[in-house]
Amino acid sequence: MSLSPNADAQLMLTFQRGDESAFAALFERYCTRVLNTAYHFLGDKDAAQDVAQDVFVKIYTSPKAYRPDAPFSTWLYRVIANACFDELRKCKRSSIIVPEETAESVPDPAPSPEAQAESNELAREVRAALASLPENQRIAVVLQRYEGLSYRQIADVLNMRLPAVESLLFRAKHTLRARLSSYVEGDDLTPAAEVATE
Amino acid sequence: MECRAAKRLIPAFLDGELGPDKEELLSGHLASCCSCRAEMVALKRTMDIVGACPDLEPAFTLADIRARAAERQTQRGWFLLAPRWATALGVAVAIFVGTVGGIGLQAVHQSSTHSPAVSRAVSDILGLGASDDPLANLTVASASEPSTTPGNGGTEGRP
Repeated sequence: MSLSPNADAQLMLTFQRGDESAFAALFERYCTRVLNTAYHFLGDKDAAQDVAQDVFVKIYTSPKAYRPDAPFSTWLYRVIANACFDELRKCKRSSIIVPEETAESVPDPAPSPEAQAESNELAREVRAALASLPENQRIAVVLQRYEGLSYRQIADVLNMRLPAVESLLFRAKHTLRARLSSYVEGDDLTPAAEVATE
Repeated sequence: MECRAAKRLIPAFLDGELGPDKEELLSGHLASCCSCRAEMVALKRTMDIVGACPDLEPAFTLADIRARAAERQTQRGWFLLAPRWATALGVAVAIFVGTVGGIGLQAVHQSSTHSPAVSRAVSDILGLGASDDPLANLTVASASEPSTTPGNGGTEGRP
């Protein structure tokens, strides 16, 4: 993960010239990020694995689609976002398919059954809350919260203006807050939702 | 700053996306407003919960990507080939229809010499003599008519 954004673009250009090792390097670098962007957006493990593979297949089979006028990661997140939107439309998934939590996604190495159940329930609630968001709000939250993109970068990925991204995230976060208020200690849902619904 | 305006700025403030001017304004408001402070804390906790959602580990490798890409390219190859066959078939059909149609039209043209009955009927209508074949004259006239192509002296040959 020590490569600079410019190095990513160079790798992609090298791959465009036919060097497969450059694709391998990009795959190594972005594999988990592509998968988890899809996962947090779709909320379904199998669909996320499938979409992530499709994203890499698209890059592998159409490398010329990348033009170095944008950072590689911006272009990649755009490809992921489009693949996720396509997946939602293809499967007509209007809501997240909440999977059963498995041991791989439980952070505590030795949780009590109660703690594990609580953690699983919370994870399901978070996914359900994310699923309740409109597509563009959801992808904005995923890119900001899980991928650590700045508002400016999100605006570039979604081809939006900065104030539009601010507005998307504001509305998304207040919806999440309302949905998850029962899990937030001491939250009596003070009137923020009023502002969000303006 | 009013609470309503302050609450709109809280998400960007928590994300470190607020400019220094607005940040200063909001900080001043938060210092004196319990409600907005509570709002900020609740939103921060909510987003911490959202952010704590566990990640997945990839269940595929680079070899899987290459295999899937090869499969897609094979499918795409067939898909791309199909229109070529369709084009070739279309061309063949067009040639066949053109040839058969051309032969047919030629046969019809050859068999369409003016019948004496038709010539007589036209002569009667036009009041010509029996020996005058208007259709034959028409044919001769059109054959001997000079060209009217501009620059070719077409109109000069006309009376």
